[in-house]
Formats: sequence, C-alpha cells, structure tokens
Amino acid sequence: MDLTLTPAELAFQRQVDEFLQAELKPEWRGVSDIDNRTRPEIMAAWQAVLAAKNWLTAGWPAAHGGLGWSPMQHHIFKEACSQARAPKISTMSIGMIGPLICVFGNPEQQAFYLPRIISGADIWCQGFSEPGAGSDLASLKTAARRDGDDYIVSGQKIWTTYAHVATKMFCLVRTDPHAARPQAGISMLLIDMTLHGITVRPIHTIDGEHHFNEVFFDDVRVPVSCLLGGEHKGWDVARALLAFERSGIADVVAARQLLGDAAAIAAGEMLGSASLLDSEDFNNRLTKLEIALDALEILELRVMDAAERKAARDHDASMLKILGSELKQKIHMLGIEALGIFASAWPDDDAPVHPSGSGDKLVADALFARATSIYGGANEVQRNIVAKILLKSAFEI
Amino acid sequence: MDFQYSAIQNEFRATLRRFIAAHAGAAAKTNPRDNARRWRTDLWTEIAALGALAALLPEAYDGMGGDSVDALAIMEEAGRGQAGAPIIENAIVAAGVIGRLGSARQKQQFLPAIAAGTNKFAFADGDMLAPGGAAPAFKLTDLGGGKYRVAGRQAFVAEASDCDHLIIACGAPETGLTLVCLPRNHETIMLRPFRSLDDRPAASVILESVELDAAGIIGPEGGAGQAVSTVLDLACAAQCAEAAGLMASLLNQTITHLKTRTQFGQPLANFQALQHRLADMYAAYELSLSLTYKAAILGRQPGTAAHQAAVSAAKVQTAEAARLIGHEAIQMHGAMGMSLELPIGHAVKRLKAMEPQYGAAAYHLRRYQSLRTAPAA
Repeated sequence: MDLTLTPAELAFQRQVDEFLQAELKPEWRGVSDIDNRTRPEIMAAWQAVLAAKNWLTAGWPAAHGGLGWSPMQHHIFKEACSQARAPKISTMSIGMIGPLICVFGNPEQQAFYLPRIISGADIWCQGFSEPGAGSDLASLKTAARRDGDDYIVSGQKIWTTYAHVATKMFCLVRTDPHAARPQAGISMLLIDMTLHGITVRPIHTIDGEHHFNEVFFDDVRVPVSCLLGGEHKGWDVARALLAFERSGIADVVAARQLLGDAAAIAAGEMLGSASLLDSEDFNNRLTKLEIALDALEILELRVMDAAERKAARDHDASMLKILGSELKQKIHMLGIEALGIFASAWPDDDAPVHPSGSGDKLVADALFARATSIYGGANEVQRNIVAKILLKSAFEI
Repeated sequence: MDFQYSAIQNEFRATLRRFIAAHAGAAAKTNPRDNARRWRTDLWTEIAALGALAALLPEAYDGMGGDSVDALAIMEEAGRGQAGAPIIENAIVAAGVIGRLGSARQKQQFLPAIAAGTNKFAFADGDMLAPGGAAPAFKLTDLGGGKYRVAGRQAFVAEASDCDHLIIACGAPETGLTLVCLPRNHETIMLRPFRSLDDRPAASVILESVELDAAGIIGPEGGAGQAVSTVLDLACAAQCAEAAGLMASLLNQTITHLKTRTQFGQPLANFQALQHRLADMYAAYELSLSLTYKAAILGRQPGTAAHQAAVSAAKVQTAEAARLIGHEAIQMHGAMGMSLELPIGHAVKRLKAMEPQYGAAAYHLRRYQSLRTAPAA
C-alpha cells in the first residue's frame, strides 16, 4: 500500500499545473457553479483552449483524439482543474455524446459530429427525461414512427438542461411500441434543434435561474441517418454512458473549497463573544464534514486504483455519486447557516453582501445543488443499485 | 497510489483467516468468557506460532520487522473473525514502547517473549487521552539512590487481570512522562478484576505505594511522552483496522440474514426500506475503511502531524460508522439480533468497548482541529 504518485504521475501533474498557470485566464478562475451553468460562453472559451492542447478529448477512444490517459491521470487532471477553479467542461458534449458517437456512430456520423463537438460549433443537450419517465426512464413515450427516410417524432421531453442554447439533442425515443420489454423498443436519435416542429419552453428553477426546459416535438421529421447505434438499440447505447467514467464524480476538491468558503463566512459571524467558527458546536460539525471529505478523497483514489487494475466494481460509481452529492449538500447547508440572515435575501445582484465578502453565490448554488441527488439517476436509484449488488448471491465484503 | 496488500500480506491474511475461522467460528457456541480465556492460553500460543505477533516486532528480537500496514492486515482479519486475542496490547503497545524506549537488556528480556506469546502485557496509560485533561493518574517519586515509588489508580486497564507484566505511564506527556514496568504478581500491586463489555479480562489498578529500582523504569525519566503518544496512535489505527474487520463481518452477516429470512412471503432482501439502509451501512464502512488505510500507510512515518491527523480522522469516522452498522445490524436481525447466541451482539459490544480506547472520538475530533492550520487546507 502506498499513497504517493509515481514519478510519471508527478511529472504529469506538474505539466497540468504549468498548463493551467499559463493558459487559464484570471477572469475564468473561480467561476461559480451557477456561472458554469448559465454562461456557456465561458465554458466554450475554456474548451477551445483545451482543444488546442488536445486535452479536451483526452478520455475519448484513441482513434478519435483520445490520449490513453490512465484513470489516475484523468483524476489528476480533474483535481488540478478544480484546484485552479477552472470552468467546467461540458458533460453532455464532451463527457457523454462525444464518446457515444465514437463507440456507436458510423464513419459518416463520426466525421460530421465529432469535429463540431470539439470546435464547439455544436452545444448538445440530453433528451432523456419525460413528464412520465424520470427515474423509470424505460417508460418513456416520445414516439418515432418510420416514414421513408425519416422518423416522425412526436412527444415531450422535460428538465432538459441547455435546450434553450443547444444546437443538437441526443434523444431517446420509442421506435417499437409493441416490444416485449419497454427497454427493447427504444432508439437514440441525434436531433437538430432547428428542425421544424420543435418548441422549447423555459422552466425556471428554485435558484431563480433558467437551466431547464420543456421540449415539445410536433411531428418533427428526423432523417434516419441520425439514428445512433441501431434501431431499437437505444437502451444499450444509453447504458454505455454508465461505464464511461468514474473519476471526478465526487469532486472532493470543489467540496473542500466550498467548506473553506463556509469557514470564512463563519469566521466573520459572531456568536456571543467569539466567532461562529470558534463555537464548539459549529466547529465540530464543520470538522466532521472535513473528515468525511478526507475519507471520500481516499475512497475515490481507491476506486481509481481499482480502475487502473481493471477491477472497479459495479457499485463504485453509485456509491461515489451518493456520498459526493449528499456531502456537498451538507456543506452547502453549513454555509447557509453561517450566512445567517444574509441567506434570506433573494440571491441576485441587489442582495446585500455578507461582511466576509464570501458567499454571494452560495444560496443559489445550494438551491441548485438539491438537483445533484436527483439527476444522473436519483440517489434512491443509486441506493437500489448498491443494494442489488450487495445482495447478489456470491457477494462478500 | 496503491491500496492493495502485497502477495506476502495476502498469503498471511489467508492463513490467519483460516486459523481464526477454525477457532473463533465456534464463538457463538462457546461461552464467551471461555472463548476469551482460550485466546489468552492455547490459541494465544498458536496464533503466536503462526507469527501474528512476531510479524510486528523488530527483526533483531525474533520479529519480522513488519510495519503499520502489516498491522492493518492482521487486525482486519482479527476483527473479521472476531478473534479476541490481545494482539494490539502486546505486539503494538508493549512491544512498541519497549522497542522505542527500553534498554538493550529490557528489549532482550521482553521482545522475544512477546513474539513467542510467552509474556503478556497490559498498559495503564493513566487516562492520558481522556477528554478533559484529568490530572495524571500515576505519580512517580524519585527516592534517590536508584529507588523509586509509584502511586495512583486507574479504574479501567484492559488485560490487567490476565497479564504477566504491567507497564504504567506515570505523569503526563506535557509535564514529563515516565514508564514503569512491574510484574503483575508484585506483592504491593492491588488489582480489582472485572470483565469488559466484550468479555475480556480487565482490572482497576490500584498502586498505594509501590517501590521499585531503576531496572523497572523503561526509557528516560520524564522523557517517554513522545514515544508513548506515537505508539498509542499506532494502536489506535490498528484498532480502527480491527473495527473495519468487525464491520465487514456485521455487514456480511446482515446480508446473509436479509437473503434468508422470509417474512410476508418473501425474503427481507426484497424490501426497499432495508435495501437503502444496507447501502448506507456499506457506504459508511467504505468511508471509514478509507481513512483507516490512510492512517496505516502514513504510520510508516509515525509521529508526524500528518500521521496524527490521519489517525484522528480514522477514529472519528470509524466510531460513527461502527455505531451505525452495529445498531442497524441488530435492528435488521430483529429479535434474533438481541440474542447472546448470535455473533453479531458480541461484535457490536466489541466495537462499543473499543470506542473510548486509545482516545475517544471526542478527543480525536479536538486533536484533528488542533492539528490543522486552516479549516480547508
């Protein structure tokens, strides 16, 4: 057992740090969670810098620009970016649909879509959830009926992040309503958002922002050439997403920064004659969260270590997702508590700033962070997955 | 980054697991007190012969020079098999302080005997890690002419009623700590034996006025504090490893119960309320195990601030996980979980009994706070 990085990993870490030092502009640093979600132009500019270095698609298959980084290298890269408070990289474009097209796309699709993803010409959104299909995704109803060289798509998607700025959507549709199992009749279509018959309506969320949308399909003609991975094979394509990456799920570095923000706020709040941070109750709760983060940091490294040896377990990603999202929510709540009455102002530019100077985006971020235990498979579903594996016949800890 | 045991460690783990399972597997059917006695007599000799004690001792004294990760491997198995042997008290605490502080003669006298399992120790730490900073429990007086007197009392000293020698920490680390070694059958030592919650031999140690000469002092007079603190940290980390083994065992037993116990016409495993709680128990186990690994790995450079912080973090996280997993294991076993005939109750009591040892979670939470310079480094 050993906690140190290899000389090659240390050299890689230095290389990443130097790159970030040279290329990450000051105005991009410290972009808050909310800016990451609502100002896609920052994300696009940062992705262009990464693309020039060939690092944007480091995790893709080698034939399509991947660099064959080890799981630990990906981890090092993501941690360094978080440490430098770099903007996020688009999960949907770079993390999801790019790799899916690499694996399931035909040569024509790869030649058309992949360069546009890398250059940022396309922004992608994910058309999975529907009003009647959330955690139970396989019950989705949006229909795609074959008509010559087209599918005619009708139905509705909802909670579609970025649909209002996206140029493309990867969309799960039902192509066989009579399939024996609901999963068997689903296909994935790559849909141009400018097609006639698509209507996008905003949904404003509790943080006061616009990330979500409803998307309506009213007999939209989508060419059959936009089918990804074969007709009725959409469920297999979507499931492949689960296996792509385990690194960066928990984002301990960002959670640690958030904890630091909460501590800075608490240091400026008085409780009796001492600061809130110095009160035993608050300090103990903060310390327990800090220790839990220490633990999560090592757990994530253990998962990376297992992935290096191709021994990652099926429930690792679910466990990291549960722990990471819920721990960060607890830290958010501690920060809100520290803000006191300042947390009760509507979180826009008019709100008074806490004397510590910290926490102006904390309330909005904390509100949106409630979504982290819902999206990507609600934590209840993740707990189902963990329990299912624990209760498998041969499993022993 | 490597969180795997070496091939040699894995081989030793497998040997230990087989040995413990062959004997401790009977724990449920044996009288627990009889079980505890055997882990200090015939099974103690056998586990010593396997090398479980020698593994952690210096090579110069019949040991194999193992480190804190070897201790992790051994104690995880001891916990998993619920082996009630006093490995930590002897191979880590007694051997640790004698190895660091003892004279050549003391090392030669005691370390090979610890390795062979022929001389058992108890360590009275004088409650030095009790929260609240109580006054030192034991006081050493230099009578001059190479003569000393020690007096004091400590209510709970693990293994004190079933050992050959007692090591007593006199004074406090901050003001000068001195270690004294006395044979248990010394005529002026008074012991009030009792069983610990986990059926182990313990005693109140009462020293009215015990006289000894310089040969009974281990290490420099007043200068043992740092070495003792380091050894107690190594012991704390090893006990977290034992706790991890116990928690793994509780999880495995609970999983088996959920799969086999039928109610309302179906196995308990079908009920989502139980599935989700099981997932949370497992996540708590993995989190605390992660910090126990970290503490064991950093234990190779013991006594550093990083090692101390890692030990304290491991203890805090382990105490929390142990409560959750222990109580949920009993709850999910239903009334069966209340029975003394099931091993789970014994595992839960072992976890509870060790919680205040080598510094309770409250002590370690405070120490973790004092070690960090900023809340988010």
